[in-house]
Amino acid sequence: MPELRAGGHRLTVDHDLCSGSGRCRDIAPDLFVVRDDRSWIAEGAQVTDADEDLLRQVEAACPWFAVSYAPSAENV
Amino acid sequence: MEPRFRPYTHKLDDPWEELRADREGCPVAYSRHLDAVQVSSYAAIREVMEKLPHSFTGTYSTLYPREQPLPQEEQVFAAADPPRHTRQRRLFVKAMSASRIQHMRPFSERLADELIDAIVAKGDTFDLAAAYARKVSEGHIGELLGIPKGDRERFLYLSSLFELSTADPRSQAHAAEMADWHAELVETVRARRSAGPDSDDLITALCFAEEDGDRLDELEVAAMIRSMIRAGNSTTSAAIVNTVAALEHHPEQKAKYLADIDALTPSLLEEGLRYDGPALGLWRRCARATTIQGYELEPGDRIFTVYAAGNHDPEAFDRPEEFLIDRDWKQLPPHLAFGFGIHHCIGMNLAKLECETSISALYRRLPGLRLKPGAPTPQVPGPVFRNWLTLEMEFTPPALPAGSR
Repeated sequence: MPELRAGGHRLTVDHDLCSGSGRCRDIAPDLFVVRDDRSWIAEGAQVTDADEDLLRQVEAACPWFAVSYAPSAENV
Repeated sequence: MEPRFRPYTHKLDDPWEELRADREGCPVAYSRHLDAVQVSSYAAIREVMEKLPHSFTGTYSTLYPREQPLPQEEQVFAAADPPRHTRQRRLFVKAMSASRIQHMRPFSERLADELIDAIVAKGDTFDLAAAYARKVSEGHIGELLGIPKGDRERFLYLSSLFELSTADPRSQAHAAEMADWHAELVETVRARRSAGPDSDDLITALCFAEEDGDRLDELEVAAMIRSMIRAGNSTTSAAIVNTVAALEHHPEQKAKYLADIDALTPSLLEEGLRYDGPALGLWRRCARATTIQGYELEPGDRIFTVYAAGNHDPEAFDRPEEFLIDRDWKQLPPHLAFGFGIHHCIGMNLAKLECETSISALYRRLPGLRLKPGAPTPQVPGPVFRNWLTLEMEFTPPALPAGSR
């Protein structure tokens, strides 16, 4: 399951749920890629405090509820 | 310019020229024929879909232009708004995920082979819709819901009544039968809940699904199942029939497909859904003032998004009026056959599995498969669906055995 931990942030894509619609990539093209009908966290992607709003949007927009995001404050 | 599209009174077998004229001349415009704002370009439809959660409501039904919202217990899936919709979808999505649906593949392949065996046993002609596509769809839903084989025909019949009723919203012709069906379904849900959580069918799963200690009540489970059958049964059957019809009308593409069925099935399915998908269009209402491509909408305004027109938009797809089964879908924007955004078709993975196993088995096993010359192909009435109700076909026996590759 793709997971990114950086600076206390935690971002995951649950491949049991993901169906590859690509809303995450549409909203945050620097952070996600779609390959083999699944979404993946882009190679070398960085998540900082400035991405919190964007990732909240992605989490809410995924039709399969496959993207989970916990910012550093929630993740200590 | 006013939209020309008149699907209630003058629905065309080939609406593409008419839809092209509307998309080019008035992509977002009030239509007297629909008494709604008609939205027909790819960009405009996508804008509606992006703005759905904040600016539109499905609670007046997406399938009929209702004057009043649906009763609360009928507000499910596309006819529900967040947060109600989010809760329902969360409880449902695990059962319909790509990984879960893949477990149905052996069943799906077996069903296709059994249905082809039954066709072959009866001769060398058949109606693709009645003898195959509808039975494929009905069989998968029956399996998912744990409906006994003997009752599955009835599910199909009631779903088809519903589809016909979208063509004339004022008609009460089928209301009594549909009310009986709803009552029966509620009884089935009650029986499954009493039987306990051990069965792995979808109705039982929904009865016992929990989200933050919250469970669905029986009316809500029944409405969700009903909505799923409405949204998934005749549409998946239509996806199979429409794709086969398109392939049969394009002999060069068919020859290409027959030469490499394995490699081309995935892109054939995407192209079939783009070129002539089962969803012609859907209704919604504006809930908060907004604009679509600059066109101002006020709360209460009715809109009708014509997915079929968006799927033929040259801004999104090169040579849109051509049926090309080997388009590279990794490089293309998604077609709109499954919608887009938070209401993205929750049955997509199941529908794709059904189309894949059924269409590939059909062309592998029936040599010389072709349309029966001169047979009429009636189109379902109304603005919501595209569905050839019969598609008479013939083949040259002997058929190849089950499991042929």
